[in-house]
Amino acid sequence: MAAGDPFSSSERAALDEAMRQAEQRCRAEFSVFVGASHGDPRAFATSLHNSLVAPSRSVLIMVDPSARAVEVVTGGHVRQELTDHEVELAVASMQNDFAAGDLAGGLRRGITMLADHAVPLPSRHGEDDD
Amino acid sequence: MSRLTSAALAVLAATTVAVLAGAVLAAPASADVPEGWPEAPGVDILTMLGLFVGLPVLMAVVIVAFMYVPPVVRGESIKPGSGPVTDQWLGGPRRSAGELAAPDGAQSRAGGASGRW
Repeated sequence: MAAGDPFSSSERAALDEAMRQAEQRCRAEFSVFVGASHGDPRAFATSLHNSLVAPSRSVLIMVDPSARAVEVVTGGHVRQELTDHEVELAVASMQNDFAAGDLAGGLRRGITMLADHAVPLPSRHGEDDD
Repeated sequence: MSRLTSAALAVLAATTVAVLAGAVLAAPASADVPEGWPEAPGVDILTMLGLFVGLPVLMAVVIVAFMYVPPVVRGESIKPGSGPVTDQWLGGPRRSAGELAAPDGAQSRAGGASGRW
């Protein structure tokens, strides 16, 4: 683990795998930013989210270990499936893991929880998706 | 029954007195240097300080050096707890804070949640 890098190579690989599986399951783009937030953490997180390629279809998780802050931003399209209450549950889970010092594990479980809730419901009566 | 109790008490009292007497009369064993043996050289204060203070301190310094020098040489942080984290993106654009888009305004359709720990 290099200086300043919060993840070991195995943790990073596990996170990449969790994000890949999450994206396959719920068709949303997942991004994780770990670092210092500049100014208000929520405003900084929405700036990060708006800088993504497709913000409306993206979920951003921002963690500032120094400020002990975690922010999850969901795009407008993702929000149709993933409610803010469901995001709160994932954030609470991540908070517990982060407080216990498990940054990588908390992120991995948080991503999995978010993906679980963001899976689109099956279309009814033969309706086509989109 | 009472005779048996009296005997037991007498034995207990005798044992207690014997143990206490032994403890009171005990003294550190000492003996003169036997004749013909050389007199042990006296230990000066500097030698004693070096042996009982200097050597342990030196050992502690060496152990601490073994713990901290390798990570310092590798450029790792030796601060307790988590050190300062450099910005890490996973699955996102590698932009610095100055290149980021504007934050959401009041008309934003984005959602989410916040947490602190």
